[in-house]
Amino acid sequence: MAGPALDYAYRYPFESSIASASKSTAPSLRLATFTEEEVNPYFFAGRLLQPFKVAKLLQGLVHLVRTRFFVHQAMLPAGIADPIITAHEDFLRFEVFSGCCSVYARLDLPPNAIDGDTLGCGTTNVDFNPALVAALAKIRSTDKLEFNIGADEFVLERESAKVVEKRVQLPIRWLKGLVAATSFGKQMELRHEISGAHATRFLRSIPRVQDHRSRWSIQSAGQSLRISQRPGKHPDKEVMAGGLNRLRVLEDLTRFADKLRVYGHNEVEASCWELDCGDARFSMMMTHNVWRGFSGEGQGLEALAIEVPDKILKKTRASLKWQSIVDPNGLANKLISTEDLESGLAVLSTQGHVGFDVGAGHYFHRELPFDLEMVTKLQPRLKGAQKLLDQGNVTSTGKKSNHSYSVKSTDTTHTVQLLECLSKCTCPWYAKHQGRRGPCKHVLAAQIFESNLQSKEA
Amino acid sequence: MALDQTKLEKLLLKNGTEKKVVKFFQGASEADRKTIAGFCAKNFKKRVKEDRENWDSDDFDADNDLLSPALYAAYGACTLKQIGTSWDSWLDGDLFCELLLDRKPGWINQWAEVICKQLRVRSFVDLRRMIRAGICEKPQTDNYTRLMISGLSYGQKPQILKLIKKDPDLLKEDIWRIFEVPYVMHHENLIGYLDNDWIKTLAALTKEKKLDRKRVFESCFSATNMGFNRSQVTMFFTLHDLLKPTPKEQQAMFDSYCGLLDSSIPPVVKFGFETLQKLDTKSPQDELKLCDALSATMRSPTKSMLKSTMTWLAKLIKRNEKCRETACMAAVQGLLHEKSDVQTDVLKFLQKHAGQPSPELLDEIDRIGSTTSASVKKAIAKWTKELAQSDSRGDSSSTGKKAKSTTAKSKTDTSKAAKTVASNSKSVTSESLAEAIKLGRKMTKKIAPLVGMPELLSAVKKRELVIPSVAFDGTELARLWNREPVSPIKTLEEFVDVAARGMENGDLVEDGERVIEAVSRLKVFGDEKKLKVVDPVIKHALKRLKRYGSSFEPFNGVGISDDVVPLIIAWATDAPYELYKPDRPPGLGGFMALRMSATLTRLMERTPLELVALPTHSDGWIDPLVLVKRLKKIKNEKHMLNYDQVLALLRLAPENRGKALKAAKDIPGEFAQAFRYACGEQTKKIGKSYYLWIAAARARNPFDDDLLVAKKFPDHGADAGLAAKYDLRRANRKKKSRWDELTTFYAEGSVRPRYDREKEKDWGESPYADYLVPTALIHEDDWHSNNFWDTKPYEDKLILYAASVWPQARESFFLITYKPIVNLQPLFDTNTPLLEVGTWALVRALGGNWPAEKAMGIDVAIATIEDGRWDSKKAGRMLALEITYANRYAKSLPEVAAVSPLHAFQICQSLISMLAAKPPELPSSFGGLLEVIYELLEELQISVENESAIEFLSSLKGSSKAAKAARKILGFEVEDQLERESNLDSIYDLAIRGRLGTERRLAGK
Repeated sequence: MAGPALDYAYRYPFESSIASASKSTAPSLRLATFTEEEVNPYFFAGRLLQPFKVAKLLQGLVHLVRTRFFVHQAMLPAGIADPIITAHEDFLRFEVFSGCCSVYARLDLPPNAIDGDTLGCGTTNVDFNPALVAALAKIRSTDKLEFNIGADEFVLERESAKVVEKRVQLPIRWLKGLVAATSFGKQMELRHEISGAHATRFLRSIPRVQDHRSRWSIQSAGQSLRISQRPGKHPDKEVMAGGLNRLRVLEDLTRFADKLRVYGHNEVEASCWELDCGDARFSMMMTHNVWRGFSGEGQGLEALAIEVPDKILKKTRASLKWQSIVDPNGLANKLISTEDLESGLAVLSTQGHVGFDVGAGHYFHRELPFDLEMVTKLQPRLKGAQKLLDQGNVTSTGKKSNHSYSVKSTDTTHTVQLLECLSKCTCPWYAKHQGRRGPCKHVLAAQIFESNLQSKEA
Repeated sequence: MALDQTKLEKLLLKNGTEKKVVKFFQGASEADRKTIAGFCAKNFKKRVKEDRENWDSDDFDADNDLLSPALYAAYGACTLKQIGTSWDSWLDGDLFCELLLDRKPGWINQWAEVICKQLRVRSFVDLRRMIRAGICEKPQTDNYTRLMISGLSYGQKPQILKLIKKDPDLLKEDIWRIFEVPYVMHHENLIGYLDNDWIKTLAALTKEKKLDRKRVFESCFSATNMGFNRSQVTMFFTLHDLLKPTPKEQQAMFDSYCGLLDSSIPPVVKFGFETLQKLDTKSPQDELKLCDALSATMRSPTKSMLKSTMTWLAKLIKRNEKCRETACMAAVQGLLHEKSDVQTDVLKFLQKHAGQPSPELLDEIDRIGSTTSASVKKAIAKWTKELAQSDSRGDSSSTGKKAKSTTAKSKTDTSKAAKTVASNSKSVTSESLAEAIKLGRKMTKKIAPLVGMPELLSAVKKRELVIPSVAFDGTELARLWNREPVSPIKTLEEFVDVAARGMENGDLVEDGERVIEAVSRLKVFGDEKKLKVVDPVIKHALKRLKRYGSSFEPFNGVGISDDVVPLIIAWATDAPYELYKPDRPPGLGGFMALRMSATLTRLMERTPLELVALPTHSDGWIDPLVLVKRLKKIKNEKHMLNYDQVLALLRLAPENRGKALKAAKDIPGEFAQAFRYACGEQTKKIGKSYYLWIAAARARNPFDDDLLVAKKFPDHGADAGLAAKYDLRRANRKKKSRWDELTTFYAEGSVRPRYDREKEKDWGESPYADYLVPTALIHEDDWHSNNFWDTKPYEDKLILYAASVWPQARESFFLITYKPIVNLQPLFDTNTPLLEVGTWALVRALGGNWPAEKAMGIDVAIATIEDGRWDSKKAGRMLALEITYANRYAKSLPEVAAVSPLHAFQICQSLISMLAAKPPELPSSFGGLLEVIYELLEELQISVENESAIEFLSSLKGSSKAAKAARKILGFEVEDQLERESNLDSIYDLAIRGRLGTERRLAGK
C-alpha cells in the first residue's frame, strides 16, 4: 500500500503555456500560479534574457519530477506534484522533487537572468502541463521569450474558461523531504569545482548501469573528477555518493554550465551538485542511496525535539521578508541577537519557512504552500519519543554530567548516552545505522527529557 | 421490506446461487442491508478462511464453491471495510455491476480508488460503467490511465476500438492522458503498456476524425518529455508515421522536429534527425536554424550520428555561406566524444570549414579542446599556432578590428592550449630527479632490494624505458604497524554495544570475532544483575530469531552476523536451541560454520572454553607475542577448539616471531609445539595432529613447500604441506548459445598439487576432517572441476570473513571469488605483494563489466603503480590472456593512465608487453586498444622498442581498424626530444619517490 498522503487540489485560473498574442510579437511563457489562500498570485512580468537556456533548465526540472529512480511498490500511486516557485524581490527559485523523493532540485534565476518588474513576493505552485513541456522543447537559441508568473486581469478574463484543476495525492514524504533537504544543505561544504566541459566528460563517464548498491567516492583527477570505490586519502576533499545514474539528468544541461560544483560533508548522507550557468544555477541534491528518500532521513529531528522559546521564533519570523539571502548577521538588531536568529532559523527550516541555498551558503525565505503542521506531527520517531515521555518511561541514571538515561521500551530498558558528537543507544535501530540516519526515538526522548529538565531549572 | 436472513443463509449454502443472491438484494434499502451486514461479513470471512486452508494444504483442486455467493452477499450488504481489499474480495463482471448499480453504495468512490491503487486491470470496464451511470467519480490518478490502457486491451482478442466506441466519453479527456502516463511494473505485469493494437486504434480514431489530428501530433512530441522509456517512445513515432503527415503539416512541425534532437533518448534523436533530413531534401529548410539544432546531435555519443551530422553541416555551409560560423560552433561539440579518432575527424572538419575562426569559436575550441586526447590536443595547439602565424603575416582575409582582435585572441588561445597540454604532466626539473636519486641511494640495505631500488636506479641511469617492480612477498615485512588494534571486550556495556552492531552488520568481521571471544570468557548465565545489563542485546538476538522464523539458518557458511545470534542466546539463557548441522557447506564457509557450531555446543554444555584466534589487529592479524600470553594462561589444552587453534596459527603476523619463539619455549602441549614451528623453530619433530602442523607450515612459509610436513601428511591438496602452484593459460572453450555453438576464448587455470579424494576415509573418524585444513579447503571446488574458472563465487560477507583467515598469503584468496569489490581490498595495503594470481584478478577487474568491479580495478591499479608493486610485464601477460575484453580495457586503462606520467608510462609498457605476448584470436575491438597505445606514445613522446611487440604489430595487415592503428604506432616518431626527456624525468622521479614512500611503510614508519 502507498505511504501516507495528503489529498491536495491545485486550482489554476488558466493553463500555463507559451503563446504569442499576435504574429509580430514575441511568444510569452506564462506560468499559472496557485496557493490555497490566493488564486493567481501575480509575481513577475518581463522577459527571459536567455530563453533557450532557461527552457532547457526548466525541462531538466520536469524530467526530474517525472522520474522515479527507484520504483517501490509503495510509490506507485503517488501523484506528481507541480514545481514550487518562490519569488523574491529580485530572484526566482523553482523547487521540485523526483518521483521517488531521492533527488531534490532547484533552479535559481538571479536578476541577470530576467528583465522585468517584480510585482509581488511569495511562494506558489506553478502549473506544468504536457503542452507547456512540449512548447519548452521547441524554444531555440535565436528565440525571444516574454515571461510571466501569474497573469493580469485581462488574461484572467480572456482565459476564464480554461480553469485547470488537478487533484493529486501529495505524498507526505515529499513534504518531509523538503524539510530534510534544508537541514542537509546547511551542513554541506564545497568539495570540488570543475569546468563545464570537464563536467560533461565526467558525467558521460558515469556508469549507465543502474547500480543501486555501490557507493562511490568522488575524487579530483587533474582538472576533472573520477569515481572511486575506495575512500580517498583526504576525506575532506571528496564526496561520497551512490545511485550515480541520477546525475545523468545533469548531462544534457552541462552545455550551459561554466562550472560544476560539488558539495558534501562527511557526516551528511547526501551530496549536492550545482551547475553554475552564469546567469542561472541548477542544483541537485541527492541522498546516498536511491532507495532512501529525503523524508526518511531524521537529520532535522533533533531541531524539532529541542524547544526554542516562542519569543525567538516569532521575532525570527517577523524578520523574514522574502529575502533571497537571509543573513543572520545583517538581520540582528536590538530586539534579537545573531545567535537567537540562527537557532530560530534552524527551527523554522524544519517547518518549511526557510530553505537553504547551498551554493550561496545562506537561508532564503520561502513559505511552503502546504499545511506543514501535519508533517511535523507525522514524524514517526518524534511521535514515538513523545509517547515514551508521556508514559514516563525516561529516567536519569546517575549524575547529570553523565547525560545517561534509561528509556523503557516495550520489552526491555535501553540505555541512552547523550554525547556532544554522537548520542548512543542500545537499541537495534541505533546498532544498524550508528546514528547516520538521525537519532532513534529513545535518543530523541532522552533529549527532550533533558531539555525539559534544563528549562525547569532555568 | 426487511431482508430475510434465513432465506439468504439457505442460498449461501448452495453453490451457483450468485444470481439469486443478487436478486435477493434487489431494491433493498441501506438500512435493511445493514441488518444482515454482520452475518454476511462473518460468512464471507469463514469462506475465505476455508479457501486459504485449501491453498495452504496444497489442495488446489478443492473447489470452494461457496466463496463466490458469499462474496456477492458481502458486496450486497457490507461496508467496504468489512469486505476488505485483499485479492479474495476482488469481483468483476456484469452480475457484479448489476449489484452495484442497484445498491449505489456510499463507498463506491473508495472502491474506485482501491481499484486504481491495486491496479485491478479486469475491473476497469466495471469502473467505467459506474462512472457512466453517474454513481462514481472518476479517479484522478495516473493509475486510472494505466488501467484504461491495460483494461481495454485485456483478454485474448482485445477490441480496443470497439470498446472505445461504446464508451465515447473516453475520447474527451482520458484518451489524451495516454501520451502523459508511462507504464509501471506491477507484480511482474506491465500495467499501462502501449502495444501495437493501441497505436493502430489511435491512428484509426484520428483518421475517423474522432481525435484532433494536430493535437495527436503535438502529443506525440510532448510524450518524449514525459518519462517514457525508449520502447514506448518509439510507439508514438509509429503513430506519427501511421498518420502520414502531409508536407504542409511537416513544415508546420519543423520546430518540434528540431526539439527532438535535444532528447536524451537515442531513438527520439534518430527519428528527429531522419525526419528533418527528409524534409530538408524535399524542400530546403532554414540553414541557420538547422545548424543550431544540429549542435545537439554533435554531442551524441554515437559515432555514426556524429559523422552524418558533419556531412549534413558541410552541405548546409555549401548551400549558405552565412551559416558557416553556426555550423562550426555546432561541430565543436563533437570534440567531447570519447574516441580520439572521432575527435580527429571533428578537428579536420573545423580546419576545413572554419576559415579564420571568430574569437567566440576559438574560445569554444579552447574550452572543449582542453578535454580531448593527447594527439588531438597537440593538433589543436599546432593549428591555432598556425592560424596566429598566418594572421600575423597578414595572410588572412579578415580585415579591420575584428581581424586584429582575432589574431590577439588566437595568440592567447594558442598559448592557453599549449599550457593545457603541459598542465597534464607535472613538469619536474632535473634537480628534483637528482635529489630523488640521492635519496634512493641512501636507502637502507635491508629495504632497498625489497623495493627494487638498485634495479630502478640502474634503469634511470641508462634512461631505459622500464620501471622494475618491487620484489617482496610480504613475509619479510612488518604488517601490524598500520592496522587498527582489536582489543577483547572488557565490560558488559561494551559487549552490548559491539554485539548489537555485530548482529546488524555482517561486514564487521572483527566485531563478530570479539563477541565470540567474549561469550567464551564473560560469564552472565544465572547472574540477574549482569543479565539486566545485557538484556537489550539478548532481546535483540531473540527478535532476530523470531523475525526470520524457520528461514533463519545460522552456521550455513554465509556470514558471521547470523552465527553470533544463537551464541548470544546460548550464553545468557537456557532457551533450547536446536543445533543446525551444516550439510557440507562449501569451502571456507564450512570451516567457519563448524567452528561456530563447535563453540555453540560448548556454550550449551557450559564446559570451559578458551578461544585464542581473536585477532589483535584489523584484517585478522595476530601478534605472536600476544598469542604466547594467551597460551600461558590456558590451563588445559582441551579447553581449546581445534578450529580455533588452526585459525590462530594462520593469522600470525610475520613480526615478533623470534621473540615469541623464545617466550614460548617452555609452554607444554602439541599446539605450543606447532606454534613454535610456525615461528621458525628448527626441528624435525612433527606431531600427530595433521591440521596443526599443516597450519604451522603455511604460517611459517606461505609460498614455499614444507617437505617435512608434506612427507608426514601427504595428499591433503594444494596449500597443505606443499604450497599451491598455479597454472594460468589461454584456452578455447565451446559455448552453446541460443542460436549456435560458438567457440570463445577464456583465461583458464588450475592448481597443483591435486587433492586425492580417495584418501579421505583414512583421515580418522570426523566426517569433516578436511575442514580442518582451511588453506586447502579454498581450492575445494577445483578438486571437482580441474579448473578454478568454475570456482563458486562466495557471498560478500563470507569473502570478508575469508580475508581474515590467512592474511599472510592472498593468492588463494584472490581465486575464491569474482567479486573484486571485496576481494581486491587487501591490495590497497602497500605491504600485500602483487603476485601472479593477484595480478590476474586485478586485470580481470579492470576488464570487468560491472561498474563497481571496474572502478575497484582502476583504484587498485593506481595504488600499485604508485608504490611500485605493479609489474608491467606480468600485467601485459595477463592482459594477453584476457584480450577478449579489449573493448573494456580500452575504457578502463586510460582512466588509470590519466593519473600521472608514471601511470601513463606503466600502462603503456603493460600494453606493449601484451603485444609482445602475441595474443591469438584478436577481438574486433582490438583496434581501440591499439589507439590507446598510440595516444599514450603521443603523450609521453616515447616509441615502441620491444622487438616482439614490433614483430606482432607488423604482422597485422589489411584495412581493419587494428591494422591501421598498428601502422600508426609503428610509424610514430618522437617529435619533441625535450618533452620526452622532461617526461622521463617526471616518470623516474615519481617512481623513485613512490619507492621511498614504500620504504617508510615497509619499515613500519
